[in-house]
Amino acid sequence: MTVDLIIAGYRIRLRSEDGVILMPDERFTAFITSSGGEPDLVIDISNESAAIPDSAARVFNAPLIEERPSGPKNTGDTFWEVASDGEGTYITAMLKDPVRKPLLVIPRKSMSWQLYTQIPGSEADPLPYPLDGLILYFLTSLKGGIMLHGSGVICGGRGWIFTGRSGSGKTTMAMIFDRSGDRVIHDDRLLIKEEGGRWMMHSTPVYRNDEPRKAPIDHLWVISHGRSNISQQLSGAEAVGMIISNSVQQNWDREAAGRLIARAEKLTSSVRVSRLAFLPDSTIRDYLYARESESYVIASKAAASILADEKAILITAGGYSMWPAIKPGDRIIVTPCDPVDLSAGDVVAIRRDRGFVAHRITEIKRDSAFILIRTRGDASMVSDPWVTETDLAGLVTSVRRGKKQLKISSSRIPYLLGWLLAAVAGISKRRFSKKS
Amino acid sequence: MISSSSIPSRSDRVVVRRINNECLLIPLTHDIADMDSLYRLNETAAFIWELIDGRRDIKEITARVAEEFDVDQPEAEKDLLLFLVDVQDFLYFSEG
Repeated sequence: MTVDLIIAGYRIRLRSEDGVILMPDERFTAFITSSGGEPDLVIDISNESAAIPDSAARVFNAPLIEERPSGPKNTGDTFWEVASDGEGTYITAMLKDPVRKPLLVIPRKSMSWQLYTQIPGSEADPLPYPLDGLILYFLTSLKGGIMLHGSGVICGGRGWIFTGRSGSGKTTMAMIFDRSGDRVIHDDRLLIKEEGGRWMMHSTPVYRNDEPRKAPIDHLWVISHGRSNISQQLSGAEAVGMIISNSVQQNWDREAAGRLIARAEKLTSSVRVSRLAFLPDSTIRDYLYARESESYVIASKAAASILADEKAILITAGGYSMWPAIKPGDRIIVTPCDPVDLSAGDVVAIRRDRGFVAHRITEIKRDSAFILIRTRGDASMVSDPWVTETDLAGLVTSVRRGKKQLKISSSRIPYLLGWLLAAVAGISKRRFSKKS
Repeated sequence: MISSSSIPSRSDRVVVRRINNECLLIPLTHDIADMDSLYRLNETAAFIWELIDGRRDIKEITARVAEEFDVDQPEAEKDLLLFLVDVQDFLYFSEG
């Protein structure tokens, strides 16, 4: 008997020997497709028993974690484990109902695998949990994708992924967008891969009934609960590291780890990655929708153009990183400046994440060829990366809070609010007089 | 005991990739519970990491760091030793 599944665009062909009926769990029903086409993977299902060969060494162990009211508890028992030798990889899982230990065999450099279900009889469950997820992991690792802990949505025609650790708000995000009528691709686990030069996210049937869904990815947000909605674009090793930290991985295999880093780096070359602190309500959708909109980009470009034209701009602050010198909702006046005139203590606007960040200069390095500037938010615990004068938008000369016009202090006011990042919530197109 | 004549070598228990001026270190592990750590080396740390080749001793590496970053030798050695302690799980030392 043969059953074909298409999961995340991969055609998986399940084959059983004569007389054995394949009975996939109902969560796979929507992924079953008609036979035909070249499979990416063939799994021969057998009800016979088999064991890990003596030549294979245990290389990875996943303990059984039980969810308890007090939180997750490691029982000390093995849930699944991986062994390996020169011939291939062997995965076993301890299943309780009925008690058995199925074995998945992945011969080296082969996409023709064997699964020994260990249940005598005429029916076979070809994808018992957790082997279903493990099969998808190894398939993805070998064929070019990344499995990610994350929820994915399409909002305003843009594909966004919200990734993060357990409890960071992935499911909450999916619910917020679902309530707003946006399409949710999945609320917990995504399989992402490059297709025709574009990175796509796919739903996976790992936990429950689902249907195949996919969407292009425009932005990946590493989320955490915060006191306001604040984003900061990441780049380089930090962006790549964030993707890896939130992906499904088994780092016993040097080759697999190398492939994962290379893919994550490639992903960051075409998909923006940002850190996002958010409030668990509809304001986060509005924030992201506005920030990702063309009008925001146009306004940012207009602001940059006005500054380049030697005119000041007025922008609205959206974060706490300069608290209490600059508070969310304050309007700050950014004036074009000559980097040569700057000194430590000045508050400057730096171009970042298609907008601006206003932070205080902590250090300046001057060379005959360039000027390097380092900034930090007054309430931030860490310094920003070094930037060059080309990243400098202008000098923050004053702050408007309600009807008051405040002069910005030249030194940091100590205030430990934790690590929060400044962002600009909106940009006024109002012009000011020319710099004298 | 690490001394200035100790020669650090990189362990094979880590996968390293250079990304721009930084490096990512992914430890290889055998237990899912140990997979929380991933190291991002900044420009200075990445420079030091690449000097660790199993041939240079700490004295030589210190001299290169002091020269590259225009700091005096004691300061360079202090920072170097702090870094080596941070990543000691991925190093082994021999005496020259």
